[in-house]
Amino acid sequence: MKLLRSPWLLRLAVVVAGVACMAPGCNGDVLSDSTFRLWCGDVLCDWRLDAGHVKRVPTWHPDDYGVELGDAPTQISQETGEGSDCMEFSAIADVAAESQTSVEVDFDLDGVADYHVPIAQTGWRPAKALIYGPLYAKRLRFIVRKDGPGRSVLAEIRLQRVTTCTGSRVQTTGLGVGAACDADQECGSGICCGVGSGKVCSACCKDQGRGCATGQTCAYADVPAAEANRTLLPQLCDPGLGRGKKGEPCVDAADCASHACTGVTYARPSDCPEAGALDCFPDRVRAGHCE
Amino acid sequence: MPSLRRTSTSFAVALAAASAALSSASPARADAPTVAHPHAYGIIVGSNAAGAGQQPLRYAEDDAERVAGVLRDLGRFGTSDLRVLTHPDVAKILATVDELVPKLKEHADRGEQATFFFYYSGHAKASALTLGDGELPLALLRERLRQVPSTLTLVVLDACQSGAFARTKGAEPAADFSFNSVARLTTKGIAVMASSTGQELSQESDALKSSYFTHHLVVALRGAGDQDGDGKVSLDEAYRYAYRRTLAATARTRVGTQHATLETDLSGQGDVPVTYPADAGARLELPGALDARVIVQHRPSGSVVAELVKAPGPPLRLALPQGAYDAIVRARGQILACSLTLTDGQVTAIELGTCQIAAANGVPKGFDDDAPETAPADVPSGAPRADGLRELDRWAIEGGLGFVGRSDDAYNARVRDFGYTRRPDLVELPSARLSLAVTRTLAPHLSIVVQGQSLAGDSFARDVGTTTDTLTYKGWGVGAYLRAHADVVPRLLQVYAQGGGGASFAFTWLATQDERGPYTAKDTQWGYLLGLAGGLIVAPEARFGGFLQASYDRAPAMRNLLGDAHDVGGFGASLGLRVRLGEVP
Repeated sequence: MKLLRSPWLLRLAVVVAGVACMAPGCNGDVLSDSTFRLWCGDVLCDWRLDAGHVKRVPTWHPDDYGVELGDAPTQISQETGEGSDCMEFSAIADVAAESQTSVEVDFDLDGVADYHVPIAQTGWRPAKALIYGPLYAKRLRFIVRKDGPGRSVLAEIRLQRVTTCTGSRVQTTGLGVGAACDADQECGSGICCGVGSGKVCSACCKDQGRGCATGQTCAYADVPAAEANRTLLPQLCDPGLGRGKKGEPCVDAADCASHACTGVTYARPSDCPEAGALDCFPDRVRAGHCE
Repeated sequence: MPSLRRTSTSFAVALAAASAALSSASPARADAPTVAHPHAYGIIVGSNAAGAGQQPLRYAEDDAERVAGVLRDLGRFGTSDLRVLTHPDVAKILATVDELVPKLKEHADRGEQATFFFYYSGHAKASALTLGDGELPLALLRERLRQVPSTLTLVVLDACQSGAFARTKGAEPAADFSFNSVARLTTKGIAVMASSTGQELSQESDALKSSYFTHHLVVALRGAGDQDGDGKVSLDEAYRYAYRRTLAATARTRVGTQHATLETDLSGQGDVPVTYPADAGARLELPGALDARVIVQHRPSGSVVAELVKAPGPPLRLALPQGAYDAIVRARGQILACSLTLTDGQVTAIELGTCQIAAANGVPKGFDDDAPETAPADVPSGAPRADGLRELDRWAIEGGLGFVGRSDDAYNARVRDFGYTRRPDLVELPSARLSLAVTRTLAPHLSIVVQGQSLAGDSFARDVGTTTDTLTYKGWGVGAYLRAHADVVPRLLQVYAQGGGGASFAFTWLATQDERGPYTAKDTQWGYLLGLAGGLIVAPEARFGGFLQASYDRAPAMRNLLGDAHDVGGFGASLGLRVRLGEVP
C-alpha cells in the first residue's frame, strides 16, 4: 500500500477546522485523541501511560490505527476538565474477556475510581453506556486498564457530554474532608456541606448547625491567602485554634494541638494556566490529619 | 425465329466437340473449332416477391433484366428467344417452359444443336422457389427441366429465402436448390451454377443495387471474366470470376461469405462460351499496367455496372452499351474519378492522366474501401466449399453513460461501526457509470465484447474530535463478454444478452491524520468480475446507433483487515452511442 501525503487543500481544511474547535470539548467530546492516533514516540501524546506498555496497531484499515494494551497490568488515563455529570461512553474495541479490560472514572481525583465497567467485546462491535455521575463531575480522570492476559485493542474510546441521563447517579463513598460531594453519604464525615455543585465534604456545616461538639465553632478552613480565592473550602470545627486532636481533620498546623498537620493537598488541575483562572474553578483543598 | 439460327460459336461448340474435358468438376478450356451457333432459348425469371415471413427483395427483378440484357447484347440470343418473366406466378413459369419444349423438340428431331438457359433470382425455401404466395416445388421444376429436349441446359440460380433486414437470399442452410439438388437435376449436358452452397445464404447489396452474385456474374459476362483474352467468356471463366468476386465482397458482410457453386455433367462437351464481348459495339478498356480497383457507373442511372479488381497483366475489356459512364479508380492510395463516353464500334480506354483526384467523401457508396488489393482466392478444386466462412471483421465501439446501484454489505456495515456515515447525508444517489466497449461479430448472432467500465463508488466521513476522516472508494472493471443478439426489427432494432467475466479494481482513499499531520492513504485492490447484461441496439447496421442496457455485475474487489469484502458491482443501467467500424452495408 502506498501512503500519500494529503494535498495542501486538505491540510488547510484541517487547520481551519482546528481553529474553529481547538479543544476536546468540541461536539461534546470530553476526551482528546479518542481514536488513539497521536503518538509521541512509543506512547500516546494525550494519554498518560500509568502502567505497562502500549503499541500502535492498525484496526479495520491499514491506516486507521488503534492502541493495543500490552502485558497486564497496563493502564492509560486522561484527566480532563470537560466532564459532566451526564456523559455517554462509547467504545470500538476488540477485547478478549480474559484480558479483564475495564474503564474507570475517578470523579473526585482522589486516586480512587468511582465508576468501573468492564469491556469485553470482540469483533469491533461498538458499545455504548451512559455514565450518570455526581453533579460536580466536571474535572475527572478517565482510565482504561487491562489486568489480564489476552488481546486488548482499542480503536476508539469516546466520552461525550449528553443532556439526558436516567437512573441513579454514580455513588461515591468515604470521601475525605475537602472532597466535592453531592450527598452526606458520600462523605466519610457524613456531612456534605454547600450548595449546588459547590458542595464539599466537611467536618461540620455551620449553616445546618451540624457536626461540632458543644463549645466548638464551625467555620471555613483557614488556608493561605494565595489559595483562598479559588478554592472550595471545607468547614472545620475550631479551625486555627490549635485544638485539633490526633487524627482529626486539618488544613494547617494551626488547626492541631500538636501543631502538626500532614496530608493536606490542593487539587489543582495540571493544565490550569494560572491560579484563580475561571477555567480551573473549582479547585479543592483536601484536608489532612493532625498528628 | 432468325435469332435461333445464328451461325457462330456457341454452346453447341462444346456439344459438338464432345470433349471429355468438361466431364470433370473443373471444366477445362478446349480450343474447339468455330462452328455454327446453335439455337438458343432462355427463360429469365426475377421475382422480388416475398413469401410468408420473408422480406421482399429489392433487386431480383432488376437482376433478371440485367442478365437478359447481357445475354441479348453479348450472348447471341435473339430478342424473341429470351423470355423475361418478372414477378411471375408458378403457372406462368411452367407454361413458358412448356411453350419452349415443342420448339426444342423440333430442333432435336432435326438433329440440330439447341441450348436452354434458365435463370432464376428470387426467394427460395428448402424445397421450393418462393414466388410471393405461390411456391414452385423443386421436384416439379427438376422434372420439367429434365423434360426439356435441349442439347445443353444451363441453369443459374440466384436463389433466396427469407432473410433479415439485409434481405438475405438463399434457402435454409441445409437444402438450397443449387448444391444439394444437383444430383437430382443431373442429366446429360446440364450445368447448374448457384449463388451459394447449401449451407450459406445469398445476399443483395444496396450499393450495387443487385445481388452480389448476379452483379459479378454479369460483369464477368461483359468481359471481366475473359481471362485468356480470346474475346469470349466461357462458363468456366464466368464461374471463376463470379466465385472470386462474390466471395471477396460477401466476406465483409454481416451475414457471411457466399461460395458460388458450379456442378456440371457435360461429359462429351467442350468449352462452353456464354458471351462474346468481342462482338460488342462499345467497350471500355482497363489498361494492362493498371493495378487498381475500379467501379464503373452508368452516369444517367447511377447504377454500378461493374465493380472489379484489375491486376497488372493483359488489358481488360468490358462490353457495355454505349453511353456516358463514370469510373472511380483506386490505385496506390489515390482515388481518381474518370468521365468516359463509350461509343459503338470503339474501344475507350481509361486514361488516368485525364482523371481527377476525388475527395474521399466523393467516393460513391459501395466503393469497396476495405477490400484487399489482391484478388481473392481462386476457385478451389473439386466440389465447392460448403462450410462457409463467417464474417470476422465487424467491429464496433460502444460508449455508455448511466448509473450503478450500490451494494450494502458487511464492509459498509463495518465502516459504519467505526463511526463513518455516508456522504452526502441528505441525498443518496447511485454511482455514475461510464463504459467503453469494443465489439466484434463472430457469427451472425454472436459477438465478443471487451469492455471497460466504472463500477460503484461511495464516500463516508466521520468526525474525530477536531477533524474529519473521509473514506472514498471507486470501482472499475474490465472484462470480456459473449453477446448473443437477434433482430427485433431488421436494421432498426436488435435485442441482445451477454455474459462474461474479468477483473475488477477498487481504488480507496482514506483521508485521516496522525501526529505528523493530515495525509491521504491510497489503496488499490482487485478481484474477479462477473457480469450479465441485456439490452437493445438501435440501428445496428448503421454507422451510428444507440443502445440501452441493463446489467448486473458482481465485483467483490474490496476487503478490509477484518475480512469483510465489498462488492463494487450491482445493478445498473446505461444509455450510449454505438459506432460501427469498417464497411457498412
